[in-house]
Amino acid sequence: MYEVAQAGLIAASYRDIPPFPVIAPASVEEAVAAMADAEAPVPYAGGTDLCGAVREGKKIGTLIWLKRLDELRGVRVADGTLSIGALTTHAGGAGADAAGAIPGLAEALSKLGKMRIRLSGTAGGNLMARHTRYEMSILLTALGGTAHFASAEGEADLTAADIWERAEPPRSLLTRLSIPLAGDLRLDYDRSLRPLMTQALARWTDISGRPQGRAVIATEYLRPFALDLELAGTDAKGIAAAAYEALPADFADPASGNDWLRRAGAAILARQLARLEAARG
Amino acid sequence: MAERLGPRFDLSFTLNGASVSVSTTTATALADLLRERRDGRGTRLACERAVCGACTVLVDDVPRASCAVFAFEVEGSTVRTVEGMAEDGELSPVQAAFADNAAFQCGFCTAGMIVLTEALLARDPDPEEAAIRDWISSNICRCTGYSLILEAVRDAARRKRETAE
Ligand SMILES: Cc1cc2nc3c(=O)[nH]c(=O)nc-3n(C[C@H](O)[C@H](O)[C@H](O)COP(=O)(O)OP(=O)(O)OC[C@H]3O[C@@H](n4cnc5c(N)ncnc54)[C@H](O)[C@@H]3O)c2cc1C
Ligand code: FES
Ligand code: FES
Repeated sequence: MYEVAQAGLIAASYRDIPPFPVIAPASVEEAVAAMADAEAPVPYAGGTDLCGAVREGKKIGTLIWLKRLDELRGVRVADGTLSIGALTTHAGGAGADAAGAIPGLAEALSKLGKMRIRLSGTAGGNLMARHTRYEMSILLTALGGTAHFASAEGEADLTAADIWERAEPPRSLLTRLSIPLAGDLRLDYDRSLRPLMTQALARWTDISGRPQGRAVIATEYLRPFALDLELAGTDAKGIAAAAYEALPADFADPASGNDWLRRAGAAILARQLARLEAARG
Repeated sequence: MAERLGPRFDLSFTLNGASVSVSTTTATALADLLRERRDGRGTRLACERAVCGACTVLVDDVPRASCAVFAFEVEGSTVRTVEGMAEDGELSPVQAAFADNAAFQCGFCTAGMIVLTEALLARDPDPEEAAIRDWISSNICRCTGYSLILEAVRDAARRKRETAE
């Protein structure tokens, strides 16, 4: 028989959640050690996702509260790489001067949720919550970035696609996102059709001065899919139509059919290409 | 040195200007802790998922959904709720603007909207329309269609600026 409680429609009250030990490390080194040694450790950043997840059944053995790790906050540019600390809030990232190293990045970050969420939600929490409706994975894929993990076993740099496959080292902590600053790297992020689809476009020039591009399409329910663009020529519509030939026929969800995604995605991509071209002046 | 908390612990923080010490557990949400107090029912609970914002309070001046904040996080912090907005029995300019603009119907979202508005105006006393909309759309109102709330926020900003001059 259909049981509402068993269907998961009624979440536990906090009163039903057993209390857990909390560790608040003072450094990444201590945090890595706590992740290695604690019983069933769960990192905790802004809580905008985790608190709801706990009420929906996620179990906490030991909560590793990251708040004191100031070294994981902020956006920096060094050695041709832009890095975003895992604890950087969306508002902090959008307001950081260094985000200006990639035109369009600050604007994209300023669209991740509304202000109350942007003031607490972090870049690392967004990726590690692994919800297709969260957008950091789309931006990281478009920009060709990686996420850096630290664990007692060692360190690893993973793409957003790797994170979807849970390829990070066991008991690891995401410490930062790194984006190599390819020549004149720029971003355009279009959410006008969210939640049905969103699309990020990155454009840069390679060492021989040729323009390169990557478009990333995602929906509320589908993981981001990257389309490499052939930017030779100036016909934005033609470039977009050619890129969309590579979209797999099964890239579709109950709300957004494949035909519609191809048409809408190509139309938006043509507009994005034109916008980036205009922004370059 | 890493700090450790056992499942039950003593929590101290400042609530609306007064020192508070309570024994609580690590799984307790700030919203529940506040609402268990006789003077804490202004903070509403609805979705309990950080979505609706009815439970918004200021933690060290940052507006946060108190249903998505574990109480242990506010150790040593300053928490302000809607109960702490009035001064000497006088409604704050934001509260008065909400009342005078009839910016509510059922009133369930109102405490969260007022707290959110306080946070916005503390950061930006003369916010642009786009900023007002961005902030206020953080919280959900199922009744008003928002236009009266937006009017109250604009009015509150005017009142606060006039008081400051
Ligand atoms: C109302 C609402 C609207 C939203 N709108 C949007 C939106 O429009 N676009 C969007 O992209 N997102 C949106 N979000 C999601 C929001 O951006 C994420 O909830 C937020 O980024 C998560 O970060 P956090 O610090 O709060 O994570 P937490 O809730 O603290 O943690 C989330 C998960 O990540 C893990 N984690 C956190 N930090 C680390 C780390 N450093 N290393 C390893 N694991 C870690 C935690 O264990 C947990 O599993 C919305 C959320 C809400 C509640
Ligand atoms: S009850 Fe906290 S956000 Fe809805
Ligand atoms: S007045 Fe009823 S929810 Fe806003």
